[in-house]
Amino acid sequence: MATMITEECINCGACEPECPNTAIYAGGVNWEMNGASNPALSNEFYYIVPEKCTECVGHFDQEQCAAVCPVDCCVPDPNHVETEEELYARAKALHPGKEFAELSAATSHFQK
Amino acid sequence: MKTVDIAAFFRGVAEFNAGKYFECHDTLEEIWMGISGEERRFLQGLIQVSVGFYHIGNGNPSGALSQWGKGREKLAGFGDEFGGVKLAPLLEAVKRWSAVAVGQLSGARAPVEKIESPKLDFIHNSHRREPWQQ
Repeated sequence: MATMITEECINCGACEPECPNTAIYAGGVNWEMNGASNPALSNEFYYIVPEKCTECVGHFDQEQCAAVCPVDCCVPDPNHVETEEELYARAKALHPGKEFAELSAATSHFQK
Repeated sequence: MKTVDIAAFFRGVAEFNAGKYFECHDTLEEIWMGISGEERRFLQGLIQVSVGFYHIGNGNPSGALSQWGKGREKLAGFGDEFGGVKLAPLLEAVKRWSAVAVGQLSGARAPVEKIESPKLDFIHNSHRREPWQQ
């Protein structure tokens, strides 16, 4: 499933630069995808765009936003439950020019 | 282990005691990002307690309760003190303020003005005055 940011977010911004898919935006900021601008999903605190989140599958062995969040407010989104295969396919679609290694314990928390 | 910025830690404590909970979280987070082990868990517990007070001050009792719960869970494992820092009074303050947050969520009016602001105190003359001795 995608990762979400809860209302405990303190808006420190530590997570935003860590996302390999630029799926994290500050509250009130429109999110971008395929050249289109979309309304912010939250005006109060940072948010993660589900369509751009791969839970870091394909990149890292754990969600990087959660790893750097000191208040543990980056958590699994129960409204966006996805398989490892779906997330991996999304990672490839988001980065068409990038070569992705086969999934392993180093590139997917599903494999740990 | 990377050398801990003790001056930054004391600055974070001062910010907490001044009610600057966001600044405290920011200062301690800088340290937290670069360390590991029990010190990292201890700092994260303090950060979450501080963020809880930030949330209650911003009218977010739900967020406050969640952060305090996480912070208490982490700090409970350290006993009454860690590295010269008294934890029992802090955790007692969190417990009192948690009742305030619960009251706010239920719509009850809590006597906020009678509850002291939390403080981080050090144990005087502790042989471990510095939080992290090598």
